[in-house]
Amino acid sequence: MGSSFQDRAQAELKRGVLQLAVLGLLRERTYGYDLLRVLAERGLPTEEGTLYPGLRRLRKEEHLAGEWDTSGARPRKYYRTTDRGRTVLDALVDDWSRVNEALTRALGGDDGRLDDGEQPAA
Amino acid sequence: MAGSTTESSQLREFLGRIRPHLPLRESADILMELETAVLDRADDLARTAGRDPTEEDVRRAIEEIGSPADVAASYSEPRHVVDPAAFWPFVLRTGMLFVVHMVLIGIVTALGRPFHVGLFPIEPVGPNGLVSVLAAALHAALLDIGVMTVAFAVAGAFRRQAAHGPSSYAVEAAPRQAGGRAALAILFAIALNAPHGSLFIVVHDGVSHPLFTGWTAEILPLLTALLVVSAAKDLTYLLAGERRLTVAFDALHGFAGVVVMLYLLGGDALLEVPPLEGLQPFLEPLNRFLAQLGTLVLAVTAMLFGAKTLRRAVRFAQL
Repeated sequence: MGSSFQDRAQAELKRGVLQLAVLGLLRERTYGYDLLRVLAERGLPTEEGTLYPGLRRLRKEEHLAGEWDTSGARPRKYYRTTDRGRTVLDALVDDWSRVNEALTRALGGDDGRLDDGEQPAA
Repeated sequence: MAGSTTESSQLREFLGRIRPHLPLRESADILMELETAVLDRADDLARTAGRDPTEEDVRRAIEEIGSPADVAASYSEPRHVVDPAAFWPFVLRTGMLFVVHMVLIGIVTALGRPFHVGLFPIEPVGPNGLVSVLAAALHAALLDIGVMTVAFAVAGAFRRQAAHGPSSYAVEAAPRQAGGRAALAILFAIALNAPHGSLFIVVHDGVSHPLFTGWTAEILPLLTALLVVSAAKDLTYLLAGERRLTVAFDALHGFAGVVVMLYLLGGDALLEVPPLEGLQPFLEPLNRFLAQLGTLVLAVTAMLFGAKTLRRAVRFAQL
């Protein structure tokens, strides 16, 4: 039960963080596989089956723009964050900072752990 | 080796097993992107091993991406009319509507005469005892489910729209589509103003009879004006590329649409089956159906125009 809750919470947290990271990274135009590499390098390893459908959804919601580049040896779909996506990103980053500060305070310390040395329950 | 799909039968097979489960309009795009992703990954695996890519690298790349069923499922979008989260409220409200409906049927049966709630007639129960009661209950249940489904679907669409915010104005991102829409509006305006014999006709014994009523002919200029404004708005963006003006123009078009639709709702039926020989027994129900259908279409169109006006107004403020 606990483990199921933990899995679900982690998956939801990761999905939210991934969208934020994608919107941020795609301020510079790049293609899916390269984005996977960058995410892994920066500590957010992601599966293709999560990233590509996610990119598509963000594009449908007009947070990303996508276009095929066929000038190279292999056709690649390049994405970049739209103006709308940037607006959303700014708002989400603000929210993230507020939630992070609030959570740190709620857990009772700067390191995000409880004051009395107890670990927060999983 | 892995640089070309035509040489990789396992990649072809992998993509072929995904294809049937993808949305038709997007499948080519999704498959091409997956193909590139697999080949890029195969290249990476080969580079790490310090050699040229092989079929084994493609196999490993495919394995990493997941089974065709899982990949296809990750692209599927929820398809429902009523939001699953709203299912029990839907059942509860439909049940409440059904109870009210049955009470009303009981009242009109006791009074012995029908009455109307908006478009919907409440008829007394027929004379065949239990069979008539069951038929009335079934009719009421189906009607109530239909009405509540439409209500929940519309409410869900508005909620999703509110959650995602107003989508940006499509013309801004797709001038080609703007050109297409303008052309379509002009063509439709021409078709609408064609001689009555060529549009909305009933052919009987080789003779064409227009379905237009005198009222329709009267309001044709209004509908034409709406189409012309729509085309002009798209052409404005296409030719001048000016966003604020285009969006303001479209908001005005939406508002004009609401006014025209409300005006039409207050008038007679737009279409009417002519009193042809042989059709006499069906004329009254056919024309009633056409009138109700017309009212429904006009009401929905008025709501769509209203929603469009609001969205464009918000978009105008964003620009």
